Amino acid sequence: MKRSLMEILRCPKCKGELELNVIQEEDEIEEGTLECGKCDITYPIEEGIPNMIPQR
Amino acid sequence: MDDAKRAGETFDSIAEHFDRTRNRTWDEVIEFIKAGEGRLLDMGCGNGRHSLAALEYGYDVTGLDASGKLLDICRKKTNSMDWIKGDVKTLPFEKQAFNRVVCIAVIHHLKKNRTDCVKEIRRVLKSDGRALISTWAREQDRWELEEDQRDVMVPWHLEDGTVVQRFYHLYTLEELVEEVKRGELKVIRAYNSGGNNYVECRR
Repeated sequence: MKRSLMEILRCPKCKGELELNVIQEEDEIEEGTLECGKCDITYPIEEGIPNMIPQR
Repeated sequence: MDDAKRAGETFDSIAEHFDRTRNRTWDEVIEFIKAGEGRLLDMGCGNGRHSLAALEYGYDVTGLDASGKLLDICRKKTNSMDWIKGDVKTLPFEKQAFNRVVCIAVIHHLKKNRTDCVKEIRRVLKSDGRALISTWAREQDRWELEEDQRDVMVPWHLEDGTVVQRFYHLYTLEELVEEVKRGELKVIRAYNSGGNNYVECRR
C-alpha cells in the first residue's frame, strides 16, 4: 500500500485514525501493521495489502 | 459464518478460474466511470477489471475485496493503485473520501444486513459524489424460483470438476431501488441491462 492511503484509511469499526508501523518498505509499504488504539485491534499489511477485516 | 469471511473463502476457492473467465468490463460501468473524476472506490473489486478501467480514465483508484486470493491476482496486474482486504458492510475509510463508488455484482452475495453496505457507500461518498450499484436481476428467465423466493445457490464449475456454490439474493429492480432508499441514498436512475439491475445514486 502507498503512504498516501493513510489520508483516507480508517479503522473499520470505530472509523478512527490508525497508527502505521512499517516493517518492510520498497516502492510502497510491503509489510507492516495498522493499529487502532481505541479498539485495541492491529491490522496486518502483508505483501502490500492491508487486511482490514477485524480478526476477532 | 460472517458474510465477508464466507464470501472471501468462496471466491478464494475459485479465484484463478474466475480471473481467467471474467475479464470483460461492463459497458454500463464504463459509462458511469467516464462521467466523473477524482477518487474512486471499487467495492468488491473481484479480479479488478473495473478498477483497471478506472485507472485508465485517470482516477485515483482503491480496490476493496474480501478475497485475499483475488487481491493477490489484482496486485500482480498493477501496483499503481491500492488494494485492500475488507468487508463491504464496514468500510475502512474516512467519511466523504470518494468522488465515485462502484459496487458491481457484490451486495447480492450477502446473506443479511445488505442495507449496511448501502449506508457505508453513502458515508464514504463526497457530498457531490455518485455511486453505481448493480446486482444480478431476478427478472432473468433462467431462474426457476418460487414466487416469493429471492435467495438461491448458484454453482461455479471449476475445470477439475469441483463445484463451488455461491449465494445470491436476487433483487427485482424495484426491490434494489427500495434497498438503496433504505440505505438513505437518492436514486438518480434505475435500469435493467444485460441481465443486471443498476441503480445510479447520490447522497
